[in-house]
Amino acid sequence: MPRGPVDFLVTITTIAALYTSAALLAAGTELSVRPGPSMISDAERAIEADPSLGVEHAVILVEETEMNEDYGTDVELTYHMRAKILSNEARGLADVEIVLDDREKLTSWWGRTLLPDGTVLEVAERELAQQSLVRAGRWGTRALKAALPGVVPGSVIDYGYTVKGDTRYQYRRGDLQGPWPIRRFRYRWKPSSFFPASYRVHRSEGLDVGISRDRTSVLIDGKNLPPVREEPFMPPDHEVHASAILYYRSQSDSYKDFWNEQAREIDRASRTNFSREVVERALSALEANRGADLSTRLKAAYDWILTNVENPLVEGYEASFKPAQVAKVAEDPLDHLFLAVARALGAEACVVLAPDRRRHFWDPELKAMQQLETRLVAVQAPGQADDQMLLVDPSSGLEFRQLPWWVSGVRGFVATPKGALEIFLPPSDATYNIARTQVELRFSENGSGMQARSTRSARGQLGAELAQGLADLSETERRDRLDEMCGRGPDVEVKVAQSSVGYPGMSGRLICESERSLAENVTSFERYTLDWAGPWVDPPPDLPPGPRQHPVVFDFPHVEILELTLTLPGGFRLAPLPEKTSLVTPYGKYELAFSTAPEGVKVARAFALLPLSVPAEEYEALRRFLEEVRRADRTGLTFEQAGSAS
Amino acid sequence: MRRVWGLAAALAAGICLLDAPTAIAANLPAWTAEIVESAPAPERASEQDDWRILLSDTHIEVQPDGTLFIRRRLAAQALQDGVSSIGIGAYRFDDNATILKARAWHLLPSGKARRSRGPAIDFTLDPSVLTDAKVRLVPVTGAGLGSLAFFEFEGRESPETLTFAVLFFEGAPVDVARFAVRVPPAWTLRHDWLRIDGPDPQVRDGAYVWELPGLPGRAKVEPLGESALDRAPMLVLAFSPPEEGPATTPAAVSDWKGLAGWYDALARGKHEATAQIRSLRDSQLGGDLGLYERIRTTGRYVRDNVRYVANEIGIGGYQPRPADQVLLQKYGDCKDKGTLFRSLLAADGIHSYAILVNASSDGTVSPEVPATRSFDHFVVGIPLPADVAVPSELAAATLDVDDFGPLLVVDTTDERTAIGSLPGYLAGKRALLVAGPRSRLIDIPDDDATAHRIERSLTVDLSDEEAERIVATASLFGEPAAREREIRRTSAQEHRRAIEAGVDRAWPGARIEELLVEEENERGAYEERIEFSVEGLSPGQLVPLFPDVLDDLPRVALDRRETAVVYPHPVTLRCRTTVIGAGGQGALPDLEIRGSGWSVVTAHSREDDVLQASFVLELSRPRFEPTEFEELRRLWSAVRRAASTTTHAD
Repeated sequence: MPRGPVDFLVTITTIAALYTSAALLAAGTELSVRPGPSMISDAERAIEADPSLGVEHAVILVEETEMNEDYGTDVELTYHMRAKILSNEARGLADVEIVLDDREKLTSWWGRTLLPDGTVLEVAERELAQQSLVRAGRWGTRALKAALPGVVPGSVIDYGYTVKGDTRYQYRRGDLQGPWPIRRFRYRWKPSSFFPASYRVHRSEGLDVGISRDRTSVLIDGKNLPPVREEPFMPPDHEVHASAILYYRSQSDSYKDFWNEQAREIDRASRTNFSREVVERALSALEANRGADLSTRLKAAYDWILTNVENPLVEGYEASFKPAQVAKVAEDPLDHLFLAVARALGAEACVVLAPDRRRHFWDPELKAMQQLETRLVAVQAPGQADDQMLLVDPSSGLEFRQLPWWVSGVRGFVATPKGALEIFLPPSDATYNIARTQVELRFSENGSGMQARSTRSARGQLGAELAQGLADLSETERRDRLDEMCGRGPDVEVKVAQSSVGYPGMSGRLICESERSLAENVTSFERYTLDWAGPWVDPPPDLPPGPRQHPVVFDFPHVEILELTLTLPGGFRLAPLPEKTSLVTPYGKYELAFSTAPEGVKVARAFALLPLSVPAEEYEALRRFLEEVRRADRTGLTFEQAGSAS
Repeated sequence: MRRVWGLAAALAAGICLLDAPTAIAANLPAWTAEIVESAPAPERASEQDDWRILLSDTHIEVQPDGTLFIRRRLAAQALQDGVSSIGIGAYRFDDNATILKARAWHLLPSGKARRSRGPAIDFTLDPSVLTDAKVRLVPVTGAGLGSLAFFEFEGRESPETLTFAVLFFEGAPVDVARFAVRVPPAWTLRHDWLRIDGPDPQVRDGAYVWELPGLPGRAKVEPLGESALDRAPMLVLAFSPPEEGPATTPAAVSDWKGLAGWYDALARGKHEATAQIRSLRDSQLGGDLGLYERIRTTGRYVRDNVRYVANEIGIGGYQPRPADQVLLQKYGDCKDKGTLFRSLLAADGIHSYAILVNASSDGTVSPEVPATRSFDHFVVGIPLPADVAVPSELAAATLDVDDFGPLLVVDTTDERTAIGSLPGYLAGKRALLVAGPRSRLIDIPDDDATAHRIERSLTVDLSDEEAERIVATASLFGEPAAREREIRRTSAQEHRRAIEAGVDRAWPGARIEELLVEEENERGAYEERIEFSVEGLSPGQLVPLFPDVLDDLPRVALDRRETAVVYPHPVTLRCRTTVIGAGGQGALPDLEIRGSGWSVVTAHSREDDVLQASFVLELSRPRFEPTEFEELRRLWSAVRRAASTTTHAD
């Protein structure tokens, strides 16, 4: 990917601004939305459910919309839906609801059900039931509702309407794919000629989606759009559905300049309005590092800020997070302060904006800042190459050069004084995100239960995850959450559940003591096999068998290390220990070993999950690895009465 | 049937955006003075509570024409800063009501008072497709810790009958809840408390006044628990004008028979077997079928071919549409579907009755005092011949009603439930059988463990050295079957994947060779058969004999629990397991453990290397109060002991 200030933008060819160069214009946006035929065609009749192809309850035969926002000062929307109903579960498609505000009115309507026997059942406009949804003084919305009659599997429903009003939305996003397959999707947008407007068709790769536009409008035309399957550990919804975004811009800038202009504006803003006093105090505290290299001084500055400046973003994690409160920067987030201090130390420092990949990625072709929610900082020595930039996020409370996992592994935007830069935000290394758990497990004296004591120490993203899981909870909620983490359940009573979070750096510790009742008294067995796994083992991701459509996306690479000591019940001795299990794959590593110990037996388990994303083609291999881990975790520990024959 | 729409569920978060009234200083109304004087320090009793209701006061004046004048006053105290008043101070109404006043005041902690001047907000929150049910809110803005908010509503309502039901639940803890009714001279008033043993009314200024102190607020619903709304006290009232007095607009109903008569009049002629009905019966439901098969065929037709579309507008909330209209449109709500079903039965000469019941809440029906709002659902009762044994596939839904003999209950609204089974939500409900002069309340039992059951079989063949072969079958009846059908109908493909994933979790590396599902067989059961193989079970590896038992009977943590554990219905679990090539361990223990309302029985036998094991749990009581947790622990312990039984490969 090019790394220059603007050249990555130049590579974008599907710039989608309306009312621009006439030379680019093409005809062919005509769309005449009208009722479908009043009979079921042979092709429609032939459509049958085939769950293996995602055709299960219904097929949308036609969904077309004409949105004319240049209708004088008014807006006119015409909509048409035609669908074949294949099962009872899709009959709800025939419950039509048209939501209108007070300034909108219905100017035309048709609605009918075409029964398999050729009968046509109509719903006249006068049969639409009107229902107020919300009313506050003169403002209100209402719904016109119709239940299309006679709908049974095999029917085709066909309805549509025209609504006139004057409401325009600055930003509108619509899915081109939904829970049902769509045979034909058409959306024509004619934006107001008074405002600059753009559109973006997102994630339509591999789909039959055509776009045509002319001087005044754009037509998005999709054919045979399959439904999107929900899968565990899939990318966010926005990145797996084809969608169209239609929006008005605040400026009439060209696509090429948009991000550069935004970058310059953000950089300008980052250099103003910061309390010089706080910066001076930071610099004064860093005097001792004067002779060190820039990188060392930047890290010292970062650590000083985290240690001495109140961080409102992590206060909810733990009451003990109140730092020395040398300074409060409630209105200026920590990254702003770090920018100022870094610059004062002689570094080049820029604002970085990143998308939250739990919701979406950054699409540079969409000229909307809303997609970049998280603010980070990039620092480098003057004149250093851009790929030497260090990325930090003081607000996260993580260690120097660590970023929250939900902004890592994706592209971000660097706002330099010269313009925009695209940058890859690296995920943290697995060795940074480590949890070590020590467990002592012993049987109760009478053999009817067990006592477990565990201490889990986590750092990096795992530590932050522990802290975030306990953030902003009431006392009761926190107690319940901690008990849950310690395995509270019908057979487990948690006696102690404590957590502490280390800040800065986001390390976490969880201490649990619990009593676990056994289904049967162990002393009644000559030979007993114990499942040693418990809440102290974080189970590997559960990936179901079967074909995979989307890549697998994990939160972050990490390592789990467990040392468990089991004290045998009195009068028992160990049966031969299970063999060691060792798995090494491109996706991770796993090792499980048993050894004797003075108390009885030691279990050592190590599990590393390494990738951030695994393509769908490798799904089965990944799944097999995780399945092997799960299987190994079930290896039982067997012991027997000392007097019995082994 | 009109749903009872709970205030708690009624308040959507998004409406906060509209909370922007203009407020100016104003005097508070006189009724607030005493509350302001005596308002306690704002302290939260529970973290769930943002508000505390100091006074909830509803006053009803029954007018001589039977309409109701209703005045509702509410005084609330904010228990933390920045709380929204949305969620308190709401007034419910519909097209039968006119709101005369809706006002609110805010007394800030500083002592400054102001009246909310902004527009009241009306919301439609009922999810029904067609509804006139709304709430009116008067927002109070800028409330902080210690703020007092006062709300006053006045309205006029014309109910369908001279009955009323009030739920003492505000979604926040209430210091004093007061409900008062004044009836015209010579009228009589009857009342009954439901869910609690409530106080008798005091008579003040000619009005009957009930007061309840210290009502709980909204509590988190625990797993296997009830919502606070379902535990809230309910007061039902019936007003009766003098016999010689002028007619009232709402129907006067003095007892349940009277309410049944009112419904009968509303539904009169709606379920007639018209020519269209007979035509359908002849063309699609004809054939030489016996009584039971005809009932099932007809029930399935209505259940599956008429889509549920609620109509909750005006009298449409109670009155069914004509059966032939429902047949033509193929949509309707519970009373429409039930009425069509009755009509089709009538075309076959099969008599049936309407049954009114509450599908969403327990404990809404007084034995003595009738109330329209006691019910929100409609099912059909069909008398069966008393001299012939009821077929087993209909037994779970057949009640024995005095003077009627066996009465088959059919709910054609519930598309998940087989005809002959009862939905879990009907277990334990008291219902009104509408049968002219023989109308009466009937009780649907909640202790029939066989009505909701899971029968599993597992055959594990460990004798093959290459791979273990396993066949698992399941037959589900009643609510367990309904739940499984619901999942499957959402997506058969996803359901299959979920089954495969479950097998994979229980038997890592399992390869599924066959998976057959029958959603509803002739016995009304959901059936499933899975055949799979597992490679590489190591010698000595444990094989659980009843691997699904702990999944089939959910359990929860009991330490610190202060509310009842409530299973949604009674249940029976039966498992039969055969292990071929089982390891040569000694005899496995047989269990027979019984408690109050439950039993667990296991048995094992071995012949050569074939081990046979069986497990039966019968749980006929779905409810365990906190004082009965030891009993529940005994039950769970017994189930766990049985579930832990294992064998192993040689």
